Amino acid sequence: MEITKSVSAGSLESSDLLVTLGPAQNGNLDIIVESIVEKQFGRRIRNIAMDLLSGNDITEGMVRIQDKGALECTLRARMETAIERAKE
Amino acid sequence: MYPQGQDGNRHRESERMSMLQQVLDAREARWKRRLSLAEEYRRTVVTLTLNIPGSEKARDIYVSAHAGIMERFMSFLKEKQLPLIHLESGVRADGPECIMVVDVPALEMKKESITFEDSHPLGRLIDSDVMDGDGNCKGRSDLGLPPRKCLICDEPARECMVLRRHSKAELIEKVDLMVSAFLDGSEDKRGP
Repeated sequence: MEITKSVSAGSLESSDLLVTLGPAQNGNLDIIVESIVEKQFGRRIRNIAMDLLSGNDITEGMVRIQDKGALECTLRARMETAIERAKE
Repeated sequence: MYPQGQDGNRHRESERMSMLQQVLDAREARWKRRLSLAEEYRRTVVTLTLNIPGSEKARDIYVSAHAGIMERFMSFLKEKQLPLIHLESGVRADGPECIMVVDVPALEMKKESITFEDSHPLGRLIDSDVMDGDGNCKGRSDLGLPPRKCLICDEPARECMVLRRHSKAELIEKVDLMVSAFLDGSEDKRGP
């Protein structure tokens, strides 16, 4: 499945993150992660996002995650909300 | 008492998730409100909230502490002659909040907010977020300041939070001690 519309979930307040999903630019699934704890957690954030996307059969789209130090449960909840909104 | 089976655990888990979702919904709603105020006024938007660990962020003592902080913040704005254009406040699932629009450049306002935080006994619990009229957030790093330190140790607060260096119970105990001391102090001042 590909993402066809642009949606977002979350905020840029501290301990939160903003997920933006949009249509793919070249048929790929691109994930951009910008995090204040990128060094420690960049890869982990990307892996969790990837798991949730593939769990929802999303194979094409543009995903941007702007993280302000969110906990993992927040990341999962924000990703799921964004995916739901993209499917609506 | 009967031991709780898997259903009990599952129930607690879903309760915990819905509380998290309520906190997240409140935060997202505030974020959207801030953006729409910035767009409406084309001026700096300041929010004043509390950093409360755990899921019970709207307890009475926190609401009282926030009201006390807001009272001082209003006097602070007056003293510093920082014009307030719009003010709204409320208590949501993620705790008491206040959103203001001020006629002060965003970076200058962030600087003033930090001065306020540093001068207040509950300063380390106060989160004053500043957004400019275009919806861009101005943080401590924009002023060349280091990130805030943890309540318990001297490491950057965010690191401790993400790494969960301290238990939630330890954090809540520390916060409650600070808040109670502040509330007791302000009551004394109201005496004869």
